[in-house]
Amino acid sequence: MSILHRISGVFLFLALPLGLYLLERSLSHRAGFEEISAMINSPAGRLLLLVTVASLALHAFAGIRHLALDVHWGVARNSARLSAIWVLAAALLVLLLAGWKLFL
Amino acid sequence: MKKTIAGTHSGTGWWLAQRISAVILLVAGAGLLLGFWSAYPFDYSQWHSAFQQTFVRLLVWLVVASLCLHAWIGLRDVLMDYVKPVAIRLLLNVLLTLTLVLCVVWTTAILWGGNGQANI
Repeated sequence: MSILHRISGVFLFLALPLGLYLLERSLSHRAGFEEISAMINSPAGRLLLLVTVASLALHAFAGIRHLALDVHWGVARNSARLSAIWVLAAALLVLLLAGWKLFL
Repeated sequence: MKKTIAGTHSGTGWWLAQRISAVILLVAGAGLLLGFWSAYPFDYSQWHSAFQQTFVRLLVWLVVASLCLHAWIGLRDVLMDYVKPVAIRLLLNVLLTLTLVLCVVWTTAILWGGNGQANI
């Protein structure tokens, strides 16, 4: 669980400069906006968006669980294990929904 | 004289900053994403005029700044755990800090730098 939290976190950090570039270009002028739209709508763009959305969901859900554990909520072994499974299931659901939206 | 360089790891201040930035990201970040998602699809004019609003600019800046602080603390922990040679870790730490500071400066420039004021 925590290794996935780390991998998704590192990935999101790497995605940040790209996101800022997209923001800058899309706000610069109309042609830039169209260019960025086309880029995001391309197959590679959609795939990258899908990975980013899934990473964000996984990282956020795992983070919420982490915060809950910090305040000693659900620290018992069984409930901690169960919440880990819920985190993975919720992230997987987001991945599937986003994949469905982006590719079907 | 052994590995005192990792001393900041124990700081509860950073631990708390990591949690506070996490909560800001969860609330403000989710709000921002939902806001843009609900407006989708939008064209350039709508996208551009959204970013003319002070409220949107402040919210985006808050989210990016929190993200950078959050990433800085998180990545520093990752470096501390996986990069053992002190010199390389120090170098990566400097690069990390520089990158994230630049990201905040860049974001400020994007939001308030007069980029695309003409709306053409």
